[in-house]
Amino acid sequence: MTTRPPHPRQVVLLSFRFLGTALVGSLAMALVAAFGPLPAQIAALGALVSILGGLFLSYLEQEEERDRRRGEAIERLAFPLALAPQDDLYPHYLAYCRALVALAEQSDPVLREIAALKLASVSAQIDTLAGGVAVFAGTETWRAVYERLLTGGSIREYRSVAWVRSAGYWQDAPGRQSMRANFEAAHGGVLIERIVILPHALWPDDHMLPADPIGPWLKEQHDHGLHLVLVRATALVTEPDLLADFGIYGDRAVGTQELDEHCRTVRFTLDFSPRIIRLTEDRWRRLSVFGIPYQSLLEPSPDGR
Amino acid sequence: MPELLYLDTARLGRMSPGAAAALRDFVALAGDEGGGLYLDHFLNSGLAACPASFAARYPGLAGWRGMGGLKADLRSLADGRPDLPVLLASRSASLVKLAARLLFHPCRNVLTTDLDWPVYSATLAAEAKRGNRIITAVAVRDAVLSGRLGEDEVVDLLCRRFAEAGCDGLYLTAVSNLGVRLPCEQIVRRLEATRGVRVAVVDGAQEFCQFPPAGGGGYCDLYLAGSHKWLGGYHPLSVAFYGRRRSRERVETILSHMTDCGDLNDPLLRFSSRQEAGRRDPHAETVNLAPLFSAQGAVGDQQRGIDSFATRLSNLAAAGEVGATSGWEPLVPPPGLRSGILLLRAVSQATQVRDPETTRASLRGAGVAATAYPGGLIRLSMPSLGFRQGELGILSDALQLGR
Repeated sequence: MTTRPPHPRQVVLLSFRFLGTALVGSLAMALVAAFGPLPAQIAALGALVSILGGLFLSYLEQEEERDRRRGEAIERLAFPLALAPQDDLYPHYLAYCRALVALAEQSDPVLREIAALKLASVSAQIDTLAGGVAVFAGTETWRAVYERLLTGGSIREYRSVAWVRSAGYWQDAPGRQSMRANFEAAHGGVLIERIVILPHALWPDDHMLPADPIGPWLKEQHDHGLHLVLVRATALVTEPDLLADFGIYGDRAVGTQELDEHCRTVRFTLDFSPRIIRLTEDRWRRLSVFGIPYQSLLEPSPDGR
Repeated sequence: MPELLYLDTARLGRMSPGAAAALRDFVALAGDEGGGLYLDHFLNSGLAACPASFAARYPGLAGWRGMGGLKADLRSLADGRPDLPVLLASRSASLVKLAARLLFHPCRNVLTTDLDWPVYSATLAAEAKRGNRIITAVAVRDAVLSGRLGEDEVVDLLCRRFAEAGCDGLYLTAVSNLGVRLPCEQIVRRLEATRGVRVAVVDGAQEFCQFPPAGGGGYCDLYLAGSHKWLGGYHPLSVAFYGRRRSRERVETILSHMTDCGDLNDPLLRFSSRQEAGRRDPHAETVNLAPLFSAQGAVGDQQRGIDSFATRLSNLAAAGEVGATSGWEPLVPPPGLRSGILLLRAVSQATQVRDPETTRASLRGAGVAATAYPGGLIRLSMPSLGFRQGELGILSDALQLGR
């Protein structure tokens, strides 16, 4: 491989511009000095000095403008430079840039208006993600993330609260699939503890165990090694903030599920902020106080405890 | 050559006469029939399903009534409920692995003691590490052997440590290899009443058929035993009882998962479960069946026997006295923590530093089979019948020679 020799540095004093300008100026001054009276000589010298001063000031102004532009350019480059090592984010950055450049070529004002609205929405979503929160609204796609968290090997402990409001809770195909992920995680060594909040209709006071189909659903979880604790919803009348559907994934994240009356997911929020994790752990501890271990119901002690 | 005074049951029980007869006749049957149709009939239902002449030709196998029959007999020996499920495996390691998985599925912190068999402790530790769980091990052995901890104190200590450490699971050894007995049922019941125990597993390998049966370990979620020590089956056959309502199906679910995914690969465990359920698998691995028949023969002997624990304890007292007058210090736990295993420590410094195999050989040369440990310790397993005339003299002579 060959390398090109560095460009030789030009001496300014030998440049044509300098030598030409200096020679012309010197000649003009020599002519004035030879043939002009003293006032003319002073006036010519003053004019020359003023021109030089004006040129210097103009140069300074231009240099300042160049510095400002250079600074702006470097600042713009700072984003791609910061993102360049992020293999999962940089391609998206480039794609957005390309799309925005293409969008800039669209001139229809209606399209530009729609684009501005949509871009504002996308920016808001990205802002939320940047704050450590992922929101899945009106979709069951959150389950893919949920299952990956459980079975991906990155967490060793999962504490969840299931607020069962109807018999259809997690009984549909996505719910059953997620439960299989729970079992797989438990067999893989993840400690899974679940507090199940049950309404009176599904766990009447005079029944030892919850009614079908929740009863078999609980039994299956227990048999796969999950530790279950049951709480009567009526016991939480004075603690309404404990009525919730959430999960704590090790010390990494908290997931909160909001369901409609048909047990379909309205929203699932995954929050990775340590403060929220601490608050949710506290909520878990408060809720545990109201619980009865499920296995104690399978085998009541002789004294009825 | 004089008859051997066999005091090494805690290592490996001497094969009982019934086990020996069953094994002899099984060898004869295998020689006559190979793997033919009648062997299948015999395996499924015993001699009754074979030609009439078989009963006379193989009398040692008369007790075999199929896999269900053996399990029923083992259940009966353990005084378990008629529906108490029984697992049979060729290796105790297989069932300990199941126990570890059963414990660490729902438990965060499992309490154990230093009475556990080290190999089993290693299995538990590996499973705990897999799930990032905790084992809280409480040292009691030395305090019990020196008489500093009695039965009530041991129970109090373990229950207190369970609470202090925030434990939620229990793995206890009912009788240690050095003869210390833990009141497991008392500990489990007290903790369940006060703290809640998610899973309790008891290793009863040295308790099964040594102590009076106590409900097949019905107080715990899994009770591990074996046929090759105090039962006298000789061929290793690992046994487990389970069946608490709260955990019966959990044990089966976890066992099934471990078997399906290859985490547990014990051909005899698979075979015995299939056989009991009446299922056949033409592609199954060939299994060594000898431990089943020797266990069946030994069960017959045990059932004909009487409650021998009181005899073992009186033998222990007698052997301890002999040891004390022969240059050995008996290490006898307080009442309630004793078993039929006597530990003796050499008084002489020279014996204490001697290679244990030398001590063992010296005892064997004098007609006594026993286990020797480093530090001048020997372990004597007490027989179920009282010492016969002259046997204590043989023991005394052997101990004096070996001291």
